[in-house]
Amino acid sequence: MIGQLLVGAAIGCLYALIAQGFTLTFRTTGTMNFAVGEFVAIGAFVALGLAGVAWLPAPAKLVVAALLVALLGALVFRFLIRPFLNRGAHDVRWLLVTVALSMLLVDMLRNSQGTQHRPMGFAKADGLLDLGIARLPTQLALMAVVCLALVVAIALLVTRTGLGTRMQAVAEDAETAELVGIDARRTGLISYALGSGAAVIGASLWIAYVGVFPDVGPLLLVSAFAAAVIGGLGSVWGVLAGGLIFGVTDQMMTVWFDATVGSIAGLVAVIAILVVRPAGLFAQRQEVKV
Amino acid sequence: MVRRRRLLAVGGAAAVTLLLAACGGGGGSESSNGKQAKIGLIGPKSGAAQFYWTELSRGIELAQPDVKSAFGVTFDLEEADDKGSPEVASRSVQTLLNEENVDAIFGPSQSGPSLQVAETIQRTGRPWLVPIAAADQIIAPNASPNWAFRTNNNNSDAIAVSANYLWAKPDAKVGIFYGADAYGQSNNDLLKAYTKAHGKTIAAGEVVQPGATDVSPAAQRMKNAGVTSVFIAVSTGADNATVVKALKQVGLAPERTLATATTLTGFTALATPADWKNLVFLEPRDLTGGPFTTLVQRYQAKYGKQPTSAVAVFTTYTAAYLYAQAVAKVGDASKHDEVREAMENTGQLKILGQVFDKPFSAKDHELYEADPSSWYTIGFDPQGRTTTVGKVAQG
Repeated sequence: MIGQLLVGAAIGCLYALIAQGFTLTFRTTGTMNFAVGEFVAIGAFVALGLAGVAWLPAPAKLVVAALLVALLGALVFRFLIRPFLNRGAHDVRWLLVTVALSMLLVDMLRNSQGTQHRPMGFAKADGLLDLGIARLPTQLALMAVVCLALVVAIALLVTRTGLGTRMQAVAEDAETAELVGIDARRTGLISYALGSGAAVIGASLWIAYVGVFPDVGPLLLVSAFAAAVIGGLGSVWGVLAGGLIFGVTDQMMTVWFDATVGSIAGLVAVIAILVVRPAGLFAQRQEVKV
Repeated sequence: MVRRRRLLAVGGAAAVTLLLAACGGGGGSESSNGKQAKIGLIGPKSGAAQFYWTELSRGIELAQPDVKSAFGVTFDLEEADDKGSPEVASRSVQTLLNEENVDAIFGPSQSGPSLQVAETIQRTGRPWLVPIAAADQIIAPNASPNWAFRTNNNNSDAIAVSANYLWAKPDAKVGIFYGADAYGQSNNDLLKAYTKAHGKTIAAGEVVQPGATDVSPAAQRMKNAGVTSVFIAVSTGADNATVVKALKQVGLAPERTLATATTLTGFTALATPADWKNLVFLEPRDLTGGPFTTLVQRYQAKYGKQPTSAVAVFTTYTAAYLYAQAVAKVGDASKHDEVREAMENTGQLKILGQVFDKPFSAKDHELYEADPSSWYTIGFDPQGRTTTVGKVAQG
């Protein structure tokens, strides 16, 4: 049972990392990238392409893939999302653009790379890690540690550094932040790049376990979005709780019932939490002057 | 003089036109010219199951030079993309039959689209080769005449042979991991139907979500149920890998672990030799035998890579050969009735040295049978290469 709990927590850490990307961009731009799953898939295919480069160590390959996807994230923000900002809260064309982009990318990946699962060829640890009280697949343990470290690092960046202060200023009032010299759009661009790139590193460790394939997006997107909603959109620490709650609920319901119940239990938890706390567990209440 | 020349010219042109019309209109069809057959090739050129299209078209490509040298038959291919969708397949088949006026249909590759077009093809009356799709209902056993010929095994035959293997010991406790998709559900339903018909029970049934990271809870339940034979019916090699990893994680080492041929799609690349040590799957074709390996080697030589589904290539090659042999016998691909009859009455079909004697009859349009003595148990060696363990009937 403890082993199952740990597996749920490990997968929850991955959801938390991807959810952190949602949180970053939502804080700074009020938008989210619904094509993040396909960005992760692109990163995995880049990593797959780098697998044969013998002189590049595995962590460097992941970093290269992450940097390229970070650049893609920045470009998408600059050319496909930014044009729709500052046109009112009801302008949701950014949402349509990212959903359309997701469909376009998955089709391009399927048609260019095929739909089969392929081994990534590196960043894979075989076997089971014996923790004394339970055994956990070593790869999942590695993924959990890396994802957790990245979630915490991003949270600290946002809460303890100058860049984080600028992000918070933009999050609270973008117009006023610009008046004091903060480039809100550049901040948004950095958020997109950081969120996309970090997701690639964590998700690649998961993909090394299950194989590289174009359809990873939908598998990750819903769970990560649920984690962000549970934690409270905008809360950089809340996503961690959100990811763990979602991952553990899904896993334990699968243990106690079956995979069908498990796959919907996490979403039921989202609804239950939203009923009690509509802004999520850790989001700060927004006071708006009217 | 000029008038006379004009009359001659007009008369000559009319004669040439009539002659050309007579040449092109054999049997009222413009689709073929004797031993040249116009084939409608339909499958998922785009979409999630694109590799099935690749193998379908490559299976035909590999057969073309062989059927030309063996029977003098050539294929003129008319391609159609069904995008893996029954709706699109329905439209595409109408176009192939009514506008392109093809002599035969090969495909669709998948069961859903094939089931959708079955009635249309039967009604139109055109030889229909089903080289890959395995759903039982595609071939209607009571159709008369029956235009469909399957060169792959069907699902219920595979399940019957699998059950024979899983319950080799009558008191075996059998558990099934099945995918939450159509493939897994269909296997689960067929196994349930088998158990009902044969007085057996399934000790544990666990659904696997495609792409799942961890199915150890399901494996634990299977262990708790005391399962001794495990059947894995999931649609990708990756999901197969997830299941065997979970068995190891919970310490369940069944006496028999049986997968389906989907395990060939990337399983060994995602698992370790310890994971596949006791894993086998069953095939009516000897995947390490001469005919099969010959075709795979030719595939590699021509396309520079291993096929994603060598079985699909082989069964498509077989379909092309079967059809060409019938066309050669009739001498005219546009005589559809006669070609169908020739396929039904095939005396012997030789595929790269493998011989099928009287493979079809009016009531049987399936190339393979559910006879365990003719099926092979296939496993993997430590390097991940397929290896034939023996015949299923040998245990």
